[in-house]
Amino acid sequence: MGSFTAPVPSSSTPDNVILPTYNERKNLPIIVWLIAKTFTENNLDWEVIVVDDASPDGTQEVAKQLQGVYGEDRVILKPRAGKLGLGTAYVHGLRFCTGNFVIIMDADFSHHPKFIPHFIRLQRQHNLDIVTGTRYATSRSLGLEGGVYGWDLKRALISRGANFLASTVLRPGVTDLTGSFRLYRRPVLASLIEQCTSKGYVFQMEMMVRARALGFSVGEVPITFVDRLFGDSKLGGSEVVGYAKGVWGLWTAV
Amino acid sequence: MPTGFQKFLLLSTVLSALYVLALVDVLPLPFLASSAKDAILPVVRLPPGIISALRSQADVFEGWWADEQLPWWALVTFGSYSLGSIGWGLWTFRECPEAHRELLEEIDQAKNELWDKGVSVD
Repeated sequence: MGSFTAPVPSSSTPDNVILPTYNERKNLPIIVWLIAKTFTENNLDWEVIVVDDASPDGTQEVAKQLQGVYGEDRVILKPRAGKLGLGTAYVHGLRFCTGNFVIIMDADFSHHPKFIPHFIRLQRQHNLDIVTGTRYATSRSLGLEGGVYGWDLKRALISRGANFLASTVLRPGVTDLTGSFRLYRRPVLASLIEQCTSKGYVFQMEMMVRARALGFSVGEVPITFVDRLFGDSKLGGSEVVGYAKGVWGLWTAV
Repeated sequence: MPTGFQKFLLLSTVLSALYVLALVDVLPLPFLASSAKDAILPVVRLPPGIISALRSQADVFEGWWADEQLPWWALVTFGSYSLGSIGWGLWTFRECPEAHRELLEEIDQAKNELWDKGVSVD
């Protein structure tokens, strides 16, 4: 994985990666290094927009060091005054995107940048509006298998049950509804964010459900998801209830 | 634009109406023998008085609970499908320890390279 028989067609504009960060001083340099490595290996133009919510741990200092290494045109730091939430972080980051395509991902190593060229390739092939990573599906044509590391049986069962519930009720047409590793066409992202009102992972679900309702074309790329590299993955009862409420809310709103 | 929930309510209402109409013999089911219909459709055997008021032909039922009716059958089928689907998802759930290993190696490599370039990594 990581090398391709055919080159990824590049866009006329750089692909933007929006990274909302909060206390990611340890992870940010490595994520940027991985992104840089992936894009350079595939001859793709890139920008990373770091939207930091005033992290007290020095995330912004490290971001500035990375600017020294990769250039201020590649690592764009756009901090905010406080912890303001994910949706607004995307809105904020979008304002500084110069490219036609925006990639959103987590900065905690659960999403690996090596899949981004696959996203881009699929988008170019089928002229898609959105490409989303899926942990649960396999694609023979892409030669990729979804997978998760770090879940025990109970966690996997909850995840499968939750996915079944959402798929049956909302019929979203994607196999992984709560995933947040996605490529969007920039105007599509802008228009969807305007309409979405939820928070957290329900926000990701709402984005996808609204996208489908509006008729945007969506493709999927299987990804491997390394959950909580340095710790246990917990899912409590309140999160399950919150999820059910989220699904209900979307069912009755969209 | 109707929400998913509204569409579901509409579909449920239509299907329920069709079901009730078939039950009281208003909706003809030409390919289904009358005795088969009586066995499949009803959920509960109502007392004779109510039945005869609803139907042109009154039958006398004994007991109040019937087996093999459509709604229960549908429910059990859906339940089986749900369990089967979740079970299948669990069976085909893939773990990726190789991704974890690869990631750890890359993190080490990244730390070394970035440290040399003056970025304060741990």
